[in-house]
Amino acid sequence: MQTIQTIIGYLYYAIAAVIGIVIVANFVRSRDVRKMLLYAIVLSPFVLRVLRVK
Amino acid sequence: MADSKGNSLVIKIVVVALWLALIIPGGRQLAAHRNYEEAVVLGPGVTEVKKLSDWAPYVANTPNDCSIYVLDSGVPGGSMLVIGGTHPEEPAGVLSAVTIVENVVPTTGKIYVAVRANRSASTVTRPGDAYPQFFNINTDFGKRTFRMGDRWSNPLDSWPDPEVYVHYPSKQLLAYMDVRNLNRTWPGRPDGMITERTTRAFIDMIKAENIDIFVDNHEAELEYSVISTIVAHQAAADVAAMASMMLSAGEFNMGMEFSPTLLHGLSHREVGDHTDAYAFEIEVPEPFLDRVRGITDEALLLEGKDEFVMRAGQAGLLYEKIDENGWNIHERVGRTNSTIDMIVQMFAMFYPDKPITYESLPMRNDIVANGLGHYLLDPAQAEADRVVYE
Ligand SMILES: [Zn+2]
Repeated sequence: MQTIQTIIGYLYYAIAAVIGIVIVANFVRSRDVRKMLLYAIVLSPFVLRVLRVK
Repeated sequence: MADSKGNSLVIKIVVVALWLALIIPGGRQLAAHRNYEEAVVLGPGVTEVKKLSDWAPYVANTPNDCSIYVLDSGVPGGSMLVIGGTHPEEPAGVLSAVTIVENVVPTTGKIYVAVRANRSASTVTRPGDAYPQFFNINTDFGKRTFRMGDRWSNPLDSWPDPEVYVHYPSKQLLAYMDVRNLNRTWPGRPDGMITERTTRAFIDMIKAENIDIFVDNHEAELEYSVISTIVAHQAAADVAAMASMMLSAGEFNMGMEFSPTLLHGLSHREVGDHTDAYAFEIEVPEPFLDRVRGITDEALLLEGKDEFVMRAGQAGLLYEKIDENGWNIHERVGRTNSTIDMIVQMFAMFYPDKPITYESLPMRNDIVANGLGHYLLDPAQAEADRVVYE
């Protein structure tokens, strides 16, 4: 029970990291300032979670 | 083309700089709150400080391996466990537990106290609801700073939540986030999620120590009907009813309610069902929790004054009175302590063979007259081995 939860927990961190990387890639490719700002804001919770801050 | 690429790079650098300027100080604030060491000074009655994992190895090395303060009179009698911080956004429950640890000297029986029953939930707040991160109590020597917390365990310690929380062992379906609510996971299980493990640890401790009286300190919003009341398991109903009558006749209004038999996961239900302890929950009013509140800050948390909650009261929408004096922290902690004291007295009346007696518990009238801070000790003045950090 606990082992399954731990594995699922790690998977969620991995998913958060992958989504974070995709957002960063979109940010790098973007030419539109508004979209850059949007990607930066959307990235924040993923970074804070992967770094275990929030 | 080359120009536009160059422009785009400059803009990106500016955006990244802005982002770092926000995320670094913000992240540091969050980390400082999560890692803040909250001092508890061992009063003259504390004979030992244990860890919850001493009874339940399965919570060792988790954020919820909280301290259990033991106040042993050395004289045989009854035993009581008081827990504060089931919901760390209800500071009166925490502070009541602190005043017991820092003041009470037992003369018969044994008292156990947890100040931070759900330590994990005290390491996270609700920035989206504008919750303050800390609150300060003025004392005779300066300020004592405590962590403000949330109702639920920190997602960093329990993630992800299930789609639906299936309560163990009743199989009752509850809201997904309540798998992190310490007052929905009783009696818990040793291999469950961290909040379920924590309640199971308390159950194991209550059984091992033959606890007679279990008290769970809470606060409630005035919009909620379970307020200014003792919620008691049916086995403890006589004691709770007597305590309610004595308090309401002599000091302040304190009701009594039966723990619902079909609603699972609550401490007053499951501790009563799964152990021999008499289970009580105390609820005092906290306007900070009301959804209709205005500015959400430390002043509201501690002074409990809010014009919007007052207007809700004038419209007849509340279950407790409120006026311009509000519900300050002194009144709330004082009522909690006086209620605990009355429960102990009434228990002794019904069960004279299991007395619990003590000196120096600050009561409602003392705390309101002298201020709560008068009953908090100075960690700087205490010997190093008499200060514990939660
Ligand atoms: Zn509560």
